[in-house]
Amino acid sequence: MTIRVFVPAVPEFAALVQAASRKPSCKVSAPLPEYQVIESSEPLEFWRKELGLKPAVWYGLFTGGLTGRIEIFDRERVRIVPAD
Amino acid sequence: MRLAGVDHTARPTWKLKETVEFYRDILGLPLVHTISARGWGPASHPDFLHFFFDSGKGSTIAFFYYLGSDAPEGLKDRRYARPAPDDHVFDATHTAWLVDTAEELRAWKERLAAAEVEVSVETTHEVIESIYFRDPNGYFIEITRKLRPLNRIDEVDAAATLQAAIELEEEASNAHVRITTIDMVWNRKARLLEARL
Repeated sequence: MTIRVFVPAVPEFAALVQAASRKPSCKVSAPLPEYQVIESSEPLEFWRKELGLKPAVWYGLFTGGLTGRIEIFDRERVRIVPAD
Repeated sequence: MRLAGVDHTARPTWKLKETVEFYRDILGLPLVHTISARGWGPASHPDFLHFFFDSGKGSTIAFFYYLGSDAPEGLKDRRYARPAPDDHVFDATHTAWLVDTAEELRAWKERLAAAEVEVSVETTHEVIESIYFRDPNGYFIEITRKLRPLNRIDEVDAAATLQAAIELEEEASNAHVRITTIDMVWNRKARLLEARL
């Protein structure tokens, strides 16, 4: 199943969309007025420092909605794999 | 109909003098009103003082001091707790005051530190940046500044998050289980949004 991350189109999560845009495995689109959507059929990994996020925002990174399973989510790194 | 903002919030204190000194002298909030009265209404209500400090834009923070009453056990040493929400239930109830600029937020931090009040580091949340500290009772207090105004996107997103959580909680309740990870809410929310694609 494809990983799908819904990212609210607000400034505090813009870095997530930008980081995904740089990954060849990711497709980024804006199919809804309020969200950008990151899609990937391969595992996805992000680093907090790469996104420039403080912990309080980092730990809410997927508040927009996530199809996929979070395999690792510590203070510095998150890894998502396709849901079983 | 719309509400016009906060008039006051109120809480009990068992440290009369320290509370006045903290809010009036350290924070510099003018003491603007005090009621002193016989206990009335329920027979168990002690005689009391009820006093108000101006916290800006017509709002006040208020305290009740009940004569002859004892502080609950859980409150006694709370003033010495660090300014972090280690007790997430007690600390969830708190007041956050607004300042307009980053410079003002920093100035408040310096003012509190100069008065030897332990202040948290500046915490950047999604739409606000805050500092936290405790009053003489141990109540958790926040001073914050807005990083951006809330908008239509925030409203739509807020409703979707809570719709997902409420649906899950209802299903879990019917199945006599509990929802314990936010991942489940995120997964359900994505399903709701996928239906809008």
